[in-house]
This record gives sequence, structure tokens and C-alpha cells, in this order.
Amino acid sequence: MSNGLAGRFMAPLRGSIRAQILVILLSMLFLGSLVQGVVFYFQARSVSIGQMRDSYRGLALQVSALSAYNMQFNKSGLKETIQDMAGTDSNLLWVEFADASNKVLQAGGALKERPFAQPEKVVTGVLVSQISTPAGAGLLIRAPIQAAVAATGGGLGEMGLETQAQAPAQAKVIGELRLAVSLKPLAALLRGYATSGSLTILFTMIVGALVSVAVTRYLTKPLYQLTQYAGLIASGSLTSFKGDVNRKDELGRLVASFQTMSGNLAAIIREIREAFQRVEDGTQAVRKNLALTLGNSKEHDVAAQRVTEQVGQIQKAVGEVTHLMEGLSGLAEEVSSSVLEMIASIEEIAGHTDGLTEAVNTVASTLTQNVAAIREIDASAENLNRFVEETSSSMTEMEASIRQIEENAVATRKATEQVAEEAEAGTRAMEHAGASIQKLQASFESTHDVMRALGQRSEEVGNILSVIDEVMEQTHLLALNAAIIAAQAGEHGKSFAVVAGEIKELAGKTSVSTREIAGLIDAVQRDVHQAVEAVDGQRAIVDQTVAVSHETRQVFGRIQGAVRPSLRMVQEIARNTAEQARGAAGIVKATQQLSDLAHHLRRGTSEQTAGSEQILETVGRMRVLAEEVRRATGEQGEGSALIRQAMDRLTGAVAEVMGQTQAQTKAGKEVERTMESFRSANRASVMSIQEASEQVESLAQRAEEVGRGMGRFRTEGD
Amino acid sequence: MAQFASLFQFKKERIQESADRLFLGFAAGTQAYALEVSSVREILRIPKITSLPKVPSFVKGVIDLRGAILPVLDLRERLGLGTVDPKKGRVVVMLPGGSQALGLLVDSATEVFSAPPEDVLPPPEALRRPQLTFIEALLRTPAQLYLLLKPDTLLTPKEFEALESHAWSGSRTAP
Repeated sequence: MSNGLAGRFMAPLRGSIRAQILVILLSMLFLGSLVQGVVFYFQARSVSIGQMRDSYRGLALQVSALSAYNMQFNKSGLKETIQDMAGTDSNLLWVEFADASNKVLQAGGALKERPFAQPEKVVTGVLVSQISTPAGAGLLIRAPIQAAVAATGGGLGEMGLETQAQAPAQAKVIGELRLAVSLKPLAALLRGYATSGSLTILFTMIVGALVSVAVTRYLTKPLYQLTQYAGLIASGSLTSFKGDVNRKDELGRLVASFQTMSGNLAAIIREIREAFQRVEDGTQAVRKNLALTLGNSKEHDVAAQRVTEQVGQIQKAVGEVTHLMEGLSGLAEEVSSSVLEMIASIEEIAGHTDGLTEAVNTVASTLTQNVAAIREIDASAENLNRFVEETSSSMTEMEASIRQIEENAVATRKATEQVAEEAEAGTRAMEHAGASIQKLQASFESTHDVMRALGQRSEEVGNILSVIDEVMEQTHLLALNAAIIAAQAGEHGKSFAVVAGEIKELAGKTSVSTREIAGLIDAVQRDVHQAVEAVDGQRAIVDQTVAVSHETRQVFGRIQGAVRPSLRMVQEIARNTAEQARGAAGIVKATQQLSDLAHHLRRGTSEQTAGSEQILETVGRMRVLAEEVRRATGEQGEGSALIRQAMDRLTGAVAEVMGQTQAQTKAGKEVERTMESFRSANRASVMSIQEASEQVESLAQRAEEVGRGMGRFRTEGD
Repeated sequence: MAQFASLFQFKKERIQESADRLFLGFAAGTQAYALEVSSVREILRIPKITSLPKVPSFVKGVIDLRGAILPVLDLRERLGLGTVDPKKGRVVVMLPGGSQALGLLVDSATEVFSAPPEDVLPPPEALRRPQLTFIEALLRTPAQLYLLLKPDTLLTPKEFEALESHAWSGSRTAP
């Protein structure tokens, strides 16, 4: 029910969560304020009425206690009391005193008439009730007036009140006080309360509404952003989302995750787009390729068609040719049987002649080549001969120079040996010199020792001098002491003063002579020092001399050491040179032999050349003969020319080819035969050529050997 | 002591009679000092000075002079002029002193000479200060100027008493 009501109420706000939250908050605020205001009002009212009642109840008690005396003994005092009360409190609408029998003694107040009904009897305790008066709502307070009993001895006034408080059980009701009080001032107070309370509630509601708006805005801001962004995403725009990510609550996390989600989504979309791009590219490429392939296959198709057409044409042509050939072969078969024999005989002769001529020509050209080769061999043999001769002469020269080297080597060896001997002699001499220098050194050493001893002695003399110095000083002191004693002795010391004077004089003399001695000793010491220094200097020179002689000896030793291997080397050189000379002689002899061989070779090749030329002549004659045979054959052939012409027209390429093949085969055989005879004639010359080549080979070998030997020689000569 | 005092008196008279006074000259460092012969007992070459603990630095120690143990002062240190070269100065001038004998270590004793009264000059104004109370007068000779020392001031009675508690105190009055 309430749900339905709320739903109906919220229906227009369903589009905005912000409005919904705001409405909820505001309605809660309003309801709360309302309830609070009502509660506050009623509380204030009840509290105010209670207070008023309590205060007038207290007044009633007080007045009733005070009026006990008047009630009993001074009835007119009650009137004064009523006038006092009404005069001081304008709220008192009505005041009346009744006695114990409920008879009204005195009454009065702000109103003209009693604002309440006459009670039936007097109350024994205080009774408060609400009444409605012509002046508005009011309170009726009824309080009993009690008098003290005999126990108090007629205690009056304030005493009576005391007695009533102390012992109410002993009191006796003698009357009643009735007060009607207006509640008008209470209404004014409550109006004031209501006004201030309403203002407070209004203020609270305004502030609350503002706070509600702010809270709502704060809470729903990210929702709005998200909504907007979601709308953007829904519409397809995936721009980067700038939300409030500083918030740490669920909405903040939602925004953050939404951000991440949008980023991921964008990335995924980008990837998909790229993938599609790739797919598109690939498709395009495939399409292009397919187009190309299609074009190619079309071309192929066209070409194939063309080929097919051509093949068809060829086939057609072949069919035609076959047809023609069939006709031709029929004709040819008819003619050939009559002509074949004659042609065969003529062509046999012609083939013979042609093959012969060809063979002769071949032989002639081969022979010409052979002769040319032999001539070349002859020329190279001549070259070789010349070279060998040159080598022989240079070898002879070399032999001579080697011999000279040998002589020089021998001379060098002798000189080196002499150097070695002299170095040895020098070493020996230096050893002698070293011995004598060492002796000299030893004698200097002893001189030096003596001089040093002398120096020490002179220093000792110096020590003695210091002793003398001391003696002199003591003498001086003695003289001074003597003078002091003499002075202190006065007259008696005068003779002693003379002695003191003498002592002083003696000391003076001693001092002088001591100084002289010191001078002398100093001079001696100086001389000795100089002598020692001189000896030291000489000793240094001697030491130097010893060192020099030692060094010289070492140098001689080194020379000897150096000469020994060089001597050995020179000897070896001499030996090597002798060996070389021997080797050179052998080479000269070998070269001579080589020269002889080259001469022989040349002679052989000359003879061969002559033989080859004779063969050439014979071949020439043969060629002439063959030419004559050919001419004769030609003449014979003329007779059958007519027939051959007809034959030529009838037989096609097939028959001619056949015939020619056969003829060729036959002619080849003939040529073979003729070649056999030529080969036998030629074999002799081949053999001689082989011999010549063998000889050339051996010659080359020799030449190589020589070259090797020469190479070796050269390295030894270096 | 009384004997010495009378002797001292006697000598003074003698010297006054002859008018010329006799002095002993000696050297300490570059300076020449002099003492009146009457206040000198003898001159010694000292073999060895025995050092003492806990004495002022100018007290070099004690010597044994024919059985008497006597304190030796370093003159230069006493005057605040460095110390006597231990290699050169082994000469001690013995003073009989007013109440006690002591030795004075100097570099060398030079001579005994006499000087007329007019050559004994009072020290100049600048030297009359309390810290130079050792100087009695200046002695003029043809060769050089001597500082004439006051023997009594070299070791004050107070200082002597401070030294008295040391080893020699028992035998100081022996001679």
C-alpha cells in the first residue's frame, strides 16, 4: 500500500537518482522536523501547565494555612485576603472561602461570577482540576483549611502551619479555599515557544536541504559521469574517461574499474581494428594475386588455343604432306626400280672418288702439320743446343770464380789463424803485466798501512798535547789560587805572593812552549795526512791500472773467443768452396753431355724432315690421280643426267636421305680402308716422332735436373 | 763562624789600607764576571757533580770537597742567561759565603787583578732593578768591563734553608 503510494509519488522522478535521493532526504528531514516540533510543543505545554499548577497549589496551601485563624475568629479578614490576592495576581479569576458545611463565606476575583459549579462538599486534601471559564481555559484548585486541635493549645497562624506539617493526622478541616486560575499567560508563553521552535525547525530544514543537495550531488556525481561515459561508449565513442578517481569508496573504485574497463575496451577495439586492417590487406593482396593468376591463365589459355590451332594446322599440313608423300612414294617406287641400278653404279664411283680425294686431303694436311711440328722440334732443339752451350761457357766461368773464392778462403783462414795466435800471445803478455801490477799494488798497500800507522801516532801525540793543555790549565788555576791565598794572607802572604807570581810565570811559559809543541805536532800531523792522501791517490791510480790490465786481458780473451768461431767458419767456408768447385766441374761435364745429346737430336729431326717431305710429294701425286678419276666419273655421270633429273623430281627428301646415308656409310668404309693404307705408311713417321718426343722428354728431364742443380748451386753460392 | 767573620773584617781593613782592591775575574758565556778575592776561598776543577732531585734548576747538585758536601750553583742559570757548557766549564769558584759555603760553576777563571777605587763604578740606573740585585758594581779594566757580583745574593737564606733538608745538611759546617 505504502509501496504503491511511494511508487506513484516517485513516478515522475524515476529518471533521476539524484532527484530520488534528494526527495527521500528532504521528506525524511521534513517528517523528522515536524515530529520534533509537535513533540516539543506538547512537552513544553505539559511542563508549563505542571509548573503553573504546582505554583498555584503551593499558593493555595499557603493561603489556606494562613486563613485558618481568620476562618475561626475573624471572618472579615478573609475578605481582605481575597482583595490582597486578586490585587496582586491578575490571573486569579476567582477566590472563595467556604466553611466546613460548604457554605461560601467570602468570594471575589477578576470575574463577576463564579466560573465553576458549586462543589457538593468540602475537600479534605488538595484537589486540582481543569475548567473552562468565560476568560478561557483555567485551573480550579481546592485546598482544605485545617485548624489545629487542643493538643497544640490553640497554636495559631504560622504555628498552625507548622502543626499541620508536623502532624496532619491531628488536623481538623474547618473550611475550604477555592482558587480559579486563568491559563492565558501559559497560552502566550506557548505561542512564543511555537514561534521560536518553528523558526528553528525552518532554519534546520533549510540547512538540511542544502546539505542534502550537496550530499546528493557528491554521491551521485560519479554516477552521472559514469552514465554520461556509458552513453558515450554506447554511442561508440571510446575517448579516455576522466573520472574522479581520488575517491576511495565503492563509487571511486567503480570509476577506477570503469576507467580500466574503458582503456581495455579501447585497446581491444584497437587490436580488433588492426586485425581487421591486416585481414583487409591480406584479402586485397590475395585478390590482386588472383587477378594476376587469372590474367596469366587466360594468356595460357589463348596460347594453348593458338598452339592447338597451330597443331591442327600442322596436323592438316602433315595430312596433306602424308597424302602427297603417299602419291610420291607410289610414283617413286615405280621409277626407282628402273633407275636405281644405274645410279647406284655411278654414285659408287663418285663416292669412291670423293672419299679418296677427301682422304688424300686429310693425309696431306696431317702430314703438313707433322712436318711443321718436326720443324718446331728442330728449332727448339737448336735453341736447346744454343742454351746448353751458353750454360756450359758460364759454368766454366763460374768454376773459375769458385776456384778464386777457394784461394781467398784459404788466405783468410791463414790470416785468421795468425790473429788467433797473436791474441793468445797478447793474453799471455797481459797476464805477465797483471802479475807485476799486482805486486806493485801489494807494495803500495804496505806503504799505505805504514802511512796510516804514522797518522795514528801523530794523533796520539795530539792526545799528549791535550794532556799538556790540561797541565797548563791546572798550573794556571794553581797560580790563581796562590794569588788568592796570598791576598787573603795579607802582609804575611807577601812572600807567598812572590811564589804565586813565579808559579804564574811558569804557567805562562809552559803555556807558550805547549803552544809551540802543539804547532809542531799540528804541522807533523798535516804532513802525515798529506802523505797518506798522496799514497791513497797513488793507490787509486794503481787500482785503476790493475783494473785496466784486467780489462785488457778480458778484451784479449774476448778476441780469442771471437776469433775461434770465425776461424772455424773460415775453415768451413774453404771446405765448402772446394766442394763447390768439385760440383761445378761435374756440372760442366753434364752440360757437355747435354750439348752432345742436343746435337744428336737435331740431326735426327733433320732426317725426319727430309722423309716427311718425300711423303708429301707422293701424296701430291696421288691427289692429281684422284682428280683424274673424278673427272672420268663426271663424264660418265653426264650420260645418266636426264634420268637423274627425272629421279630428282620424283623422289623427295626421304629417298635422297636414305640413299645418301647408305652412300655415306659405304664411303666411310672406303675411307677407312684407304686410311688404313695411309696409317701404315704414316706409322713409321709416327714412330720416329715418338722417338723424337721421347728424346725431347728426356732432354726436358735433363734440363730440369740441370735447373735443379743450378738452383742448388745458386743457394750454395749465396 | 765567628772566626770567619773576624777574618773577613780584618781583610776588609787591609784592603782599605792599600786602597787598591783585588778581584778574581772569570768568564761565563760571553760575559766577564768578577768577585772580590776576599769572598773567594779557592778555585777548583770539578771531577763530578752529583745531581739532586727536586731542587731549582740553577742548583746543579753537590760536590765532595775534601770530605765536605757543598752545593754548586750554575752561575748563568742563576742569572737567567742559559746554562754553562758542560764540556768547557768545569771550573768551580768556591765561596766561603756569609753563613755557608757554596760552589759557583763558571766556564773558566781568567785572572786575579787589582783595581783602584775609581775604577769600581756604581751600576747604571737601568740596572738597579730588583731582579738584578746580584750586581754590586761595574769593574773597569783596560781590557774589558767586569760585572762585580754580590756573593750574599747568589743563594738567599730562604733558598739555603730549602736546600738544607737535603743530603749535605749534616756535613755542611765541617770545615
